[in-house]
This record gives sequence, C-alpha cells and structure tokens, in this order.
Amino acid sequence: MSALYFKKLRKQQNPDVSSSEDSDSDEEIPKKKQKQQKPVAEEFDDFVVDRAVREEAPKEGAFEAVDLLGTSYLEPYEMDKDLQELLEKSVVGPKFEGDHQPQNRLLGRNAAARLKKSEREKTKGSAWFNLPATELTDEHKRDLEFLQMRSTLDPLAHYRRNDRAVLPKYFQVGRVVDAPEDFYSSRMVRKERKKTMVDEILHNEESLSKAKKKYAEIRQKEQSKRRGAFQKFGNRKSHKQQRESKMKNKKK
Amino acid sequence: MGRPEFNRGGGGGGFRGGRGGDRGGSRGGFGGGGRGGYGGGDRGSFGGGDRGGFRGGRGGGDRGGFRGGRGGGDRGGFGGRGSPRGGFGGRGSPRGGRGSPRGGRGGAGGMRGGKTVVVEPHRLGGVFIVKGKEDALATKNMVVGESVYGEKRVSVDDGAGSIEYRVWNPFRSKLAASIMGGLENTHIKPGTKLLYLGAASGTTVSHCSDVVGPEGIVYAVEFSHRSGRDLLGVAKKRPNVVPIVEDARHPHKYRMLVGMVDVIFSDVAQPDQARIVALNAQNFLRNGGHAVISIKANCIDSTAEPEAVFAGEVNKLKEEKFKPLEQVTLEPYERDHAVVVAVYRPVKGKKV
Repeated sequence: MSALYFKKLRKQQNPDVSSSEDSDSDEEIPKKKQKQQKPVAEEFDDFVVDRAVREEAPKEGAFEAVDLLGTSYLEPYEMDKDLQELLEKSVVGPKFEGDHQPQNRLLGRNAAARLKKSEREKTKGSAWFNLPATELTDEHKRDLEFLQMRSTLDPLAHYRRNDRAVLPKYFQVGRVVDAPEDFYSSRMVRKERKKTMVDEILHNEESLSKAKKKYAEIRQKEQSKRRGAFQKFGNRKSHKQQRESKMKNKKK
Repeated sequence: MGRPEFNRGGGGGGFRGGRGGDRGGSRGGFGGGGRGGYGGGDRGSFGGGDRGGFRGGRGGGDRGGFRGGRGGGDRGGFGGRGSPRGGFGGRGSPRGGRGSPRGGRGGAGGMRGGKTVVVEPHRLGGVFIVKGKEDALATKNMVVGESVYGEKRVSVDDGAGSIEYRVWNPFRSKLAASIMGGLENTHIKPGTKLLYLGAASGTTVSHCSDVVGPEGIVYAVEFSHRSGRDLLGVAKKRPNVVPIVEDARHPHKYRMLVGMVDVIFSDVAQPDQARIVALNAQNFLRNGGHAVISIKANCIDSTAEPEAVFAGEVNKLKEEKFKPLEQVTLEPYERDHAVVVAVYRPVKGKKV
C-alpha cells in the first residue's frame, strides 16, 4: 500500500517540474511561485506519513477483532453446573426462546366455554343428524303458531294436547313431495299451492267461509251483550220516559 | 300389506262406513245420483280401509313424548283412544249428505303433495315428527329421491344441499307402532349396530337404516326367499344394510357375516321366538346389549289370553339371561301385539 502511494507522489512531482520550466522561460515573478510550491510538497509528505501510520492502526484492530471472533467460534460456550441446575427449574431457560409465550391463551376459560356452548346450540346434535335451529322469521312464526291453534279449524278433528307452550327452537320447513301415482288422489292442485301454511288456509274457500260465519256469529252475540244494548233494543223504558208517560196520563 | 289392514275388523267398521259416504258424495257430484250410490259403496269399501289405516297413524306425533313417562303398556288407558277414530267416523255422514257442493274436493285431508309442513325432532334420536294439519313420524332419507314402499316424502331445501324425510307409517311397521305406543327407549339410534330378525320385504329395515345412519349398520335376516328378493333391492341402495337370506334358528350359518351387535330387533312370528332370539343373542349380542322383541299372541298360543302369552314369553327370556325393561302393546295399530325391551346380561354398574 505505501509503495503504491509513493509512486503516485512521484507522478505528481513530474508535472510540477515541467510547469516550473515553462514559468522560468516566461518571467521572474514565476520564480517566487516555485518557492511557494515546494513547501506544499513537504506538507504532502508529512501527511502521507501520518496516513501510513493511521492505516496500520486499524489493520491491527481488525486483526485483533478477527482473533476474538475466532476464539469465540472455536471454543464452545460452557455454563456453570450450578447455573444450569437453576435454569432448568425456571421458566426462562434455554428452551424458552423456542416456546413462544406458553402462558398465552387467545380466550379465557369461561369465554371458551361460552363459545363452545353457542356452537353446540346451533344444532340439535349428531343424534338427530344436526337438525339446525332455523331462524324464526315472521312467516315461520306464523306457521308455528298456526300449528298450535290448528284444532280450531275443524270441530270434528281431535288432536293431542300441545307438548309445550313455546315455539320449537329446532325445526325445518319442508314440502311434501308428490309422486306420480298421487296425481289424482292425494295431490294439491297448482292453484292451491302456497309458500306457507297460513297462506294455504287463507286461500282455502271452505275454511274462509267457516271462519267468516263464525266471526259474524260471535260479533252478533257480543252486540246483544254489550253495554247499552237494552236501551236500543230492549223492552224497558228509561226513567225519564216513564215519568213523561205518567204526566201524560194524568193530564188525560 | 293393504289387504290385511282391510280385513281387520272391530272398531274400523263404522269408520269405513262413514268414509264411504264421503266418497259417494264426491262421486255423486260428478256422475249423478244413481251412479253415486253405486260408486260410493264400491269405492268406500276400498278407500275406507286404506285411508283409515293411513290416516289413523297420523293421529299424533306428540303421543310418544306424552306417554314417555309411562314404562309399561296399560290396556285400560288405551281403551280411551277409540274416540278420535269415532270422531273420524262421524265426520263422513254430514259430508256425504252435502256431497254435491264439495264434489271436487275428494282428496281433501291427509298429506297431499305440495303441502307445507314443519319437521321437528322426536324425543328419540334419529326420529323426527312431521307436523301439518296432521302429524306423522319420519326418518331422514338416506337415499334422497327414492321411496321404498310408496310412502310420502318431505323435501327440505336449505341452501347446503337437499334433505328429505320419509314418513314412517305405524300401521305397516311394528317398531313405529311401538314408538307411537310410548316406548321409552328403542336403543336404536345413530351409530347403532342392529341385527334385525324377520326383515320381510325391508320396509322397517329401510327406516332402521335411516335411523342408524352411515356410522351404523343393519344386519337383516329373512328366511323366505320371496321376501328376501325385495330385501336385496332395499340393500342395493343402502350401504349400511347387510341382507342375509337364512333361517334365524341356525345363526352359525351366517356367523361369518355378522359382527358383534348392540341391539337385536326380532319380528319373527314363530312359537319358539324366544329361543331364536336367545340363540342369536348368544352368538352376536354384546353384554349389556338390548333386545326389542315383537310378540304376536296368536302365533305363540292362539287359545290363551294375550296377557298370559306375553308373560310367558317374558319368563322364557328371563331364563335365557335377559332382564326385561319395558313392555308396550301396539293397540290400535296391531291387535294382540306387544313389544318387549330387555337387556342381555346386564353389566353391573352401567346404565342399562
């Protein structure tokens, strides 16, 4: 490195010499310039020496670092036996870095239990082939309430008492499949088919006429029972009317 | 099966008569007075039997739940059940009188194709109740799109594929009749290994196949080759049915086909039915397994009282290391029939 540096310096000096010859041939004033340039060269020499010395120092440092690293690689790390025994009993040990946060849990115990329960309640269970808890829309609710009140449709049909007072939680709404052999005997006509049970009843003329007749009957009965019915239709007269009729009789 | 139901006498007579009136009315609406009379008589006799059998069975799916708490069959209690059928009978005559306005409504009543119904879970696993204007037992169809013996199907369209339920007629299935009669536990549930003695044409075997599901298995033993042919047809479409056309008195002949089972269901109408069940239990039934036995009193001893015959069969089972648990009669679906549930060599400490 230093040899190369000296060669560079010599190359620099050569163009200085050529420049000085040119100046001598021209005038006297350039002579002074020549004198000034020489100290500059001397300064460069000093600077070069310093750099050489400084360069050696980092080299030595690098060498030392390499040695240190080499020693660290060559010799295996040995722990004290006492320290090993202590670390084996503690959580923070050689294996700790591999086990990421053993105490961590995404959900608490109770939260996990609640989640499992909510998952379990979505279906009736595997014993019933996971019958789902169908969403209770207005249509479904009306159909289920209709099933609870179906005994009012036909006075001659008798049903077992409802097994519960609430609407069922697990149910499915389906449709009876008609086979080809049922075409004339047990099949609903296309006009009779509706989406829900309530629609089927409302569009059934027989049921509707019965319901209307019953409604009119009940309404008439209530009319005859309500307050003021006798004033309109009854036989008795009010006190005022009775008094007036007596006065008329007296006059006569 | 329709013919035996038709021949069954007793309380059904009045009911059929009433039904005939209704049909006569409907025919009258179309063809005129004279012809209506004739048609009513003829069609009524046929329709009465079939429809009576079909409709009576749908009296109440809730009955199972209601009578669940009652362990054994109480004959006196069953007597009161005649009134619903009486009601049906009385319904015919006023309708017959007013046949002409309702001529076109001959098919009214029953589960008609296209009707909207609700499916709910039964108390017993694998069994469902279809509720509409009338109720019915049902099982989830393992082979969607197929019915085995012409029974009604209920199609449910939830977004993830097609689901079907098959109506289970208790007039044609003694197991369904026992469920309707209030049997507390049939021990046949999803995943059960079932040995079915006396499978006949495979009607009840198909429903048992639906109940046990893909994880369970049904070994169906039938002696008659004529019925065995139909049983083979059922087994072709259901991967969990193993058809065995053999004599159930010789279980060693089919011991290579049958593994250890959890439940034996027996519907062989033979005088030595108890011995047949015991032989099969010794070969295949696990300790703590259950036997569900349908007893037909007339086949065991036609001269004795049915109660005495049932008691005799239960005693025979006791001698063969069975412990009886439940007994129900199958009135009004079958006359002089009972179903007995027993546990074989009960394991101490375990729930039977």
